[in-house]
Amino acid sequence: MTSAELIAAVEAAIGGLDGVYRTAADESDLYEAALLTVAVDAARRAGGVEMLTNDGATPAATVRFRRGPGHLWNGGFTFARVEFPQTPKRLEIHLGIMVAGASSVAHECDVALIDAMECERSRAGAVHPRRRAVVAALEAKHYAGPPGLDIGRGFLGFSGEIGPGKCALVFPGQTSASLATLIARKSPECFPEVEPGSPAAQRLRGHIDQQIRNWLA
Amino acid sequence: MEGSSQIYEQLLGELRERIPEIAIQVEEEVQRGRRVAATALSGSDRTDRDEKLRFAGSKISKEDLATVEYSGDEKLALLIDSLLRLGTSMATSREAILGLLGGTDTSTTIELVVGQTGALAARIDLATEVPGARTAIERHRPALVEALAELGR
Repeated sequence: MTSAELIAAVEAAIGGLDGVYRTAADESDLYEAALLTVAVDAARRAGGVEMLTNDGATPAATVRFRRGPGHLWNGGFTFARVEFPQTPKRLEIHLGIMVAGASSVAHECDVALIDAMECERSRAGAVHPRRRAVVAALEAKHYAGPPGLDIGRGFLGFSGEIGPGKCALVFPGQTSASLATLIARKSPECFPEVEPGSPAAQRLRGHIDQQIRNWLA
Repeated sequence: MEGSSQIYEQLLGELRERIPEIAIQVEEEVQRGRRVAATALSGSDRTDRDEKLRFAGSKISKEDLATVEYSGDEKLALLIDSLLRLGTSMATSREAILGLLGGTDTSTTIELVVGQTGALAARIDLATEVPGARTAIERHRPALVEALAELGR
């Protein structure tokens, strides 16, 4: 491939992808919703049966996802309600809700798997779900390139608030040596190169599956 | 590749005009540089630092970290790799959500709504968008992969 051919190929790709690309916010929201599908798949593997719902009782006719943080008790948004036939435990999987952290400050969880009893309490009292009821939380970053160290530092702060063992930082890009080193050998996990169906997405699904099984046990 | 830094600048400019958010991600990573353990530095990077530290009465230790600039080829590869990942994630994200809705009575058009205000931000017909997103990445993937191979990636 000559340099002229390389330039032409990359220019054509930029034009082709631009034709699909919506806005940064739309693509970020779609990526978070795609991670919800990974979490639902993990719940199925842990024995769960899910229903996508806007009211907790009936299947959603239209899916409505949050842009930006919102309160769990504000209805009308789509979440997955998961039942486990072998136990009375139920799980809810939400996008973009606030959760009360260790410092009594509410933090946005991009994808949150929470004990359904805590979700019902949240709706009843209009209070944020507490971190102890969080089964797993994903911090999603729609970065095609390597995220900077500031993303890693922010994630470590977030995971300290929600519970380090429950949190995972997830993005489609490569990781950088600095970010990988920063998070390595700590409880929160980092999952680079996650696109639905990729080997990294399978590792993430296995990670969530195990967290659900630990919660069920 | 000869002139790879200039090619990178040219293509980054084009990306900045078309998909600025991704151009910023690539540019910021290039500006940060690659952080490497000083003991893992190679060639002149290592020799230069060794000499300066010796002059200061010290030597490179295993705790030392250094930041090195991306080479022209590395910058170009980073840009191309980012395009591949963007295209793949746009296609797979849409497909995954559509797959979750498949087999139910749920509409394949999803709504993105501002959490605090309830204002509709976007309405996306996944059944329409999935084929376009898949076609876009598959049409350009072979050439992008070949370009990465040309750059030694």
